[in-house]
Amino acid sequence: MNTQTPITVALAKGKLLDDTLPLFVAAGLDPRGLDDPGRKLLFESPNGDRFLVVRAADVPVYVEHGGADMGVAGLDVLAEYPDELYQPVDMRVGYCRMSVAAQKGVGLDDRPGTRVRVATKYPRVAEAHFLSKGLAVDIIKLYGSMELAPLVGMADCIVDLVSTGRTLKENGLVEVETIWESTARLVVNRASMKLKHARLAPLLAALQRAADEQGSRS
Amino acid sequence: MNRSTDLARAMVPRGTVPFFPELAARKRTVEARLWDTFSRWGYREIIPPLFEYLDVLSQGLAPETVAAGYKLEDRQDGRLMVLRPDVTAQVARMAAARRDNPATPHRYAYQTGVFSHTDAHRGRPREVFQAGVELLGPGGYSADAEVLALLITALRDLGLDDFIVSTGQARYFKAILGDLGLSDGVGAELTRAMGRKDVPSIRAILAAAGVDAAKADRVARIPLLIGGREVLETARGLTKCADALAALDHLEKVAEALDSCGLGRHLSMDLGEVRDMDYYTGVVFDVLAPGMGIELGGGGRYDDLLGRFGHPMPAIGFALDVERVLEAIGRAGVPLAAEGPLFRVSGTLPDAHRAAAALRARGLNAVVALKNDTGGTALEAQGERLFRVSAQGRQPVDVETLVSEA
Repeated sequence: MNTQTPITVALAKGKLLDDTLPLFVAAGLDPRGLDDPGRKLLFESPNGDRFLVVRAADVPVYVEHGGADMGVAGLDVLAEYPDELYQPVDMRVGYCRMSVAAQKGVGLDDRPGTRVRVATKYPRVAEAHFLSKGLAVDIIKLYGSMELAPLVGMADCIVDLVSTGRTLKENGLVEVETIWESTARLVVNRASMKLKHARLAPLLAALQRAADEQGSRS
Repeated sequence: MNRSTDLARAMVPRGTVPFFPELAARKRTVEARLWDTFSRWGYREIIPPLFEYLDVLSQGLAPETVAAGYKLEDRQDGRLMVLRPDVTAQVARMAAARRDNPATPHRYAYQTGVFSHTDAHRGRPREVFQAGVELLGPGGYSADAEVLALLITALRDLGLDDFIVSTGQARYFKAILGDLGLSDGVGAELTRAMGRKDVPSIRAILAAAGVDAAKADRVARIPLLIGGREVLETARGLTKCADALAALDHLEKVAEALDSCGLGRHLSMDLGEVRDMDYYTGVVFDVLAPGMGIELGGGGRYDDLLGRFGHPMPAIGFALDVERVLEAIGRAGVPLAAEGPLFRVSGTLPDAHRAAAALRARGLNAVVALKNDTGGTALEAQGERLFRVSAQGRQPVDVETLVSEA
């Protein structure tokens, strides 16, 4: 395996992709066409590198199973993924925080029922968080619009990703606790990290440099 | 019968696979060849039981392995038993329990299935066919080199050439970790971050623990100590800790020993590999091949394991996942020797049986034709005479001709 070995990269469409592309270009990759992917899912650079457009939650799946050598994923996705992947580079884009939010003026001790019910799209994160505080909670998994659950009395609080906090505010919820804050990570397949090391080592270093430069500018 | 009933009857538990003859033959060929290599290196078969007492075996298992085990109750005394989740722990238990104390080293080989619960839809088997060895007794670098050389040779004997054995040294990071003087909790957190090569978190953990910046920088380089022999030199530059340096010297001796038997080119280093740190105490390695996103197998030195069963003894071993090895062979386009030809003999029963017996006695595969039988090359027995039957008609043939053709 030499320094020219082609690699495959899994990326999710959206703001994270837009923020990541300049870093890839700065690190010497050639993700041409990805700035406007349309319906195309696979892009190939002249040097043989491939870029896959996948759903955000699928990035770790592609990387773990070797469908891609590496990918970019938010900690929200990685925290829900059952296995730990190599994540050597902080891309310093895609800032978000995972928070507990409840109706304004309603504490968890004010709940009518006996158990704390938590509505969330992130059951592993929510469970680990409350367990670490010694609280056993009932998790209700939802796929979106979690803010509704406390309003209709289905849950006492929610655990959700917050970027600006506007959605919470407009629905009468307030952040009561930040679980963590993070930016996106580069994740790398275990086997690729070693088999394609000659290609990946300088690339990872260049990506971290590009991310740090960008991060210190913004 | 309707379709849903058909499906229900055909259903096998997820994560198991039926092997029909074509696939089974490939599997058996691979296993036989691995076994052949293990035997020629002096490794002799050990057969652990299919189930064990959970509380006993758990002493030698990682908590995740215990959690993922299939448990059943022993009707005789109500104790919980576990379906074989890991052979190494069983071998350790067996060796520690043995009272006739045969002289070490013990060289053991096994070939068997291990079982674990898996999450649904993650594409992971629940029955894994393993072939592996354990070398108990000696703890020096020459024992490490022997096991690594055997691993590489076994794979080469299968016709594989493009693979690496990515090797780390648990003692290196353990020594550096000890030197940092962190609390147990922070140390565990750092080890987990190291395991996922999470450089940003490693920096954050060390900063929060008040480790000085220069030292933290050096620790943060460990996850990427990957590559050839040059990595050892870089690793030496990151520490003054005598134990860590001794651990690197040990690994270098192992590498030199492999070089001297011409196998060094398959060896690669990853000093940031800290997986299963409470299990492995020295070299730790994975077999990787291009196109396979997951290791074909792996192993390492586990000098503390037998002690957990009451009889401390150094030990090292590896296990290969036979199905993954088969896939790697398929991807590499390496041909596997086919089974020998099959002859289907028709004629009166006594004639056909006599002819089939003669063929078998000369090492050929033969069946006596049953109704509607179609497999193999058609022969017809008539008294003492044998004919080959084809679209062109019947040609006389003798057993020696068939042997020379096969």
